[in-house]
Amino acid sequence: MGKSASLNTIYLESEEKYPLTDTTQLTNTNLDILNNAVKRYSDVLNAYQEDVTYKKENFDNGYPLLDLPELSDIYDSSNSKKFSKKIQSWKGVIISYTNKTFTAKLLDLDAGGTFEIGEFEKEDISPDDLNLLSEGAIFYWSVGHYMENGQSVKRSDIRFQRLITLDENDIENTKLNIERRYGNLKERKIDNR
Amino acid sequence: MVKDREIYSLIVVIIGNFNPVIITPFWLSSKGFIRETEAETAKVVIVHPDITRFEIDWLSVEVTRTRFELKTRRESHFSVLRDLVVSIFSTLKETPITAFGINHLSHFSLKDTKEYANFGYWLSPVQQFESVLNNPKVQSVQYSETRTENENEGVIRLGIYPSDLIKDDKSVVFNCNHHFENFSIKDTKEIILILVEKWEYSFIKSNQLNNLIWEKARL
Repeated sequence: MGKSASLNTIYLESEEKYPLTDTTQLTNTNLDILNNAVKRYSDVLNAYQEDVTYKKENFDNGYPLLDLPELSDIYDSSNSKKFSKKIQSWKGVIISYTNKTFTAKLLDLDAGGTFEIGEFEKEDISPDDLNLLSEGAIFYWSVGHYMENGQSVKRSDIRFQRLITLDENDIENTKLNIERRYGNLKERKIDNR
Repeated sequence: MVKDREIYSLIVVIIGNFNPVIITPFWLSSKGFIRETEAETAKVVIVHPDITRFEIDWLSVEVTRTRFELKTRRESHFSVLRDLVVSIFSTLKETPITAFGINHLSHFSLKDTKEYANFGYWLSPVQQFESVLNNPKVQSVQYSETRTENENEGVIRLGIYPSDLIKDDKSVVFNCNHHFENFSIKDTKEIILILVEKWEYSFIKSNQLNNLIWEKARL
């Protein structure tokens, strides 16, 4: 009993120390509320280690709850001053490559139209993407102005597509779907002849 | 007259049941969905059974037990964001999904504060309240369309507010939320396929809506 009382005191003191009440203060520059929520949770967690009977309503499946306010507008605080302006983008498919360069068929993602052929230096590829370079590999190429913390920067970005490939189950399911949907079609075609 | 957009951000929101604690930069990198360097330099705000939040250079991620949100302010990375969503949910294919939304945030600058005020009056004729309110101004407006019978068309909700990125007192952001739900199918991969199929369509709808507003507003 005495232990629970002291833990409740910790909770109340923590609540006072790290208030969560005024969510109208949420702005891009105010992360205090989030920090307070985490600190308060940490206090409660420490208290919880000592007495499991403490403040049951703050438990979720026997574990203390992290009581976070809605912060979706501010969680991307460090990226809030980074954005792109006036971008032109292409989707490229690698046709061939050498030790120093690679050639690709390019489709303008904004204007569409016919394919163009472009040659790039391998140095333009991020080292993390080099292992993705192969014939038929797809990449996105964008050129444009970026704002980074108030500074406009002109940049060209090449980024290889990282799309999960089909697993065996997917291939089997696709085969079954084709069979289910178009199996009859084949038979009808033969009948018509 | 149609206006050119200044900034274009995109937020993809998936509604379902998620386990936030597994969605970390290193998990994404270990699966090959993002670059290793991006995982190493990610700014992790919190990873917890109830919520995960982190940012990499071009992306902000927030996952709760019921909501999975991915956001980028880089127009150059919209396709990369779509690929990431497909890859994540192709891997987490047992994860139940009930709805998804593609939010297009288009920022526009008006010529001057007078044009900005006129646009507000066009959106909502607040001058009507002048007898009671002192110099009333429009802060934000929201519109939504009526749901169609075709579940795969989605429903558009449009919000118009002052821009939070261009702080010059004459810029606005159009938030076109293209929301899809009530799927007759339950399979996660098939729902994600709908997202892929509707991706371009969603961009077209959003652009049509933006252009229509500027044409009709005749500023």
